[in-house]
Amino acid sequence: MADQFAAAQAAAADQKRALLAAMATGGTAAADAYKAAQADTSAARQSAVQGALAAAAQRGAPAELQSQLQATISAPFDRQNANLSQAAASRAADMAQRGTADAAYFDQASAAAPVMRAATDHLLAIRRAQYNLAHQGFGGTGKSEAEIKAAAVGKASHDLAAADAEAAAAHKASTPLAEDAMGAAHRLMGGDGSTPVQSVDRPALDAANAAEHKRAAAQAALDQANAMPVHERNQQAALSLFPRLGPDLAAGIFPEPTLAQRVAEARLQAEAANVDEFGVPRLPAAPPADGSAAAVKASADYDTGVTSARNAALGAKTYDEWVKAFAAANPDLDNATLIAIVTDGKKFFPTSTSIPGLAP
Amino acid sequence: MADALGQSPAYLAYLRSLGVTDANDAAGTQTGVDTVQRRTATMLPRIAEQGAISREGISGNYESRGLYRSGQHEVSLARQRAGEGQQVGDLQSGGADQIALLQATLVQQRAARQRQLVEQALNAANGLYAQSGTDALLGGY
Repeated sequence: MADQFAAAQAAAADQKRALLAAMATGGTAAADAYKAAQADTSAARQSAVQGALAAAAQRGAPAELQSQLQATISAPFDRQNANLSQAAASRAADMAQRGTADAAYFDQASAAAPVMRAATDHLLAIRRAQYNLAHQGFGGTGKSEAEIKAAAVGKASHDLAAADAEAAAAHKASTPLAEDAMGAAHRLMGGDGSTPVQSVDRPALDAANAAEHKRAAAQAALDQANAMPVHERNQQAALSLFPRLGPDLAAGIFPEPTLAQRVAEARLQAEAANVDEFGVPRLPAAPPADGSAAAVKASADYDTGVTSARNAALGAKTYDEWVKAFAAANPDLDNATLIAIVTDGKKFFPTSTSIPGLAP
Repeated sequence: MADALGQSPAYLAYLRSLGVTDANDAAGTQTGVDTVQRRTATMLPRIAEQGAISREGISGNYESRGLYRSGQHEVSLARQRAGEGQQVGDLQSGGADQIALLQATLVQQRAARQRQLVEQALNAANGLYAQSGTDALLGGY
């Protein structure tokens, strides 16, 4: 598969050689044009001077005048030849400069080939991983995306359960030993507590303590996993199950959600909890108003109920207080999502204009 | 090596158009050079003819004033020849500039096509490489 890029590099080298050859040919043609013009100008100069001096001699012009005539006639031809030399040099310098720039381009194009190949390899790897994930599971294990996502919490839960069982077993095993030790100590002390303990089953107590520490560590790991953003947790789960993926591919498969996605997710979660995105419980729909006194009263009661429920849920009388309370009640929301929601919630507090304590 | 890119229709199409465009540009340049050289060849005798007529007028003027064999007459003729030489020089240097410009333009046109050819080759290589990678992925299942 690398042959295509090698061919592109070979094309760049070929074209560089062809360009340099074309520039040499073009440069020669331009230089030849100036040389021909200089030769023609010199011939014209000689012809003009010779013709003028011969005619002047026929008319009997004095010899001392001839040098003045020659200088007068030669001057414009000499200036032209000097100009032609300068123009030829300028043209040659211009072409050389262009040739250098073009040669550098071809070198850069050749160097770009392996970079392009690496970028395409990266994209192909992501595409392959996504395909595997969707159709067969990584490495042919048959793991689906949902299974991989579930594996993160599942693995931590399994570790915790195992640690719990181990701690319970150790505790159960150590308890009679410790009780026996305490009983022996009590007997040694004669039951009055005045005699110091002579011996305790330290290994059993140490095992119980170690099991408890292990359980606490497993709980802390689970807490940490639950506190992580979902996409990071999924990335870690995928890496844990398939280390060969690498962090870049894992990030490509489980990308960080956009702000709009995070707000939508927060709203979905709120809807599932039967509250709106501001934490206000959803009430049944207002009763239909048919114009009767009973319906009007029911409608008014409904509005009052909504207002009361919202005020109770907000638990604050000012926007600033509500923002603080809302932020405290939703510690899992990141700053940007929080700002997006509380900005929308401002409509309940039309007199407030700022979001205190929250910097974007 | 170039065969590795032969499966790219876009690259092959560009290669097909390349020869025609280059031939057209080279022919255009040659036509321009021929035109400049023909114009120079036509103008030079005309300048010489007008110069001879001008000198006859100058000499006739001095002769009518009885100054035919004077130094002033010779200086006037020399100045006329210098002016004529200036015209010849302008014509020839202008022609040389035009020919050099035509040649340089042709080189630049070729350089631009060569750069585009390399870009086409890189694009074709990338497309074929990505396609073969995708084919291998799909073919595996």
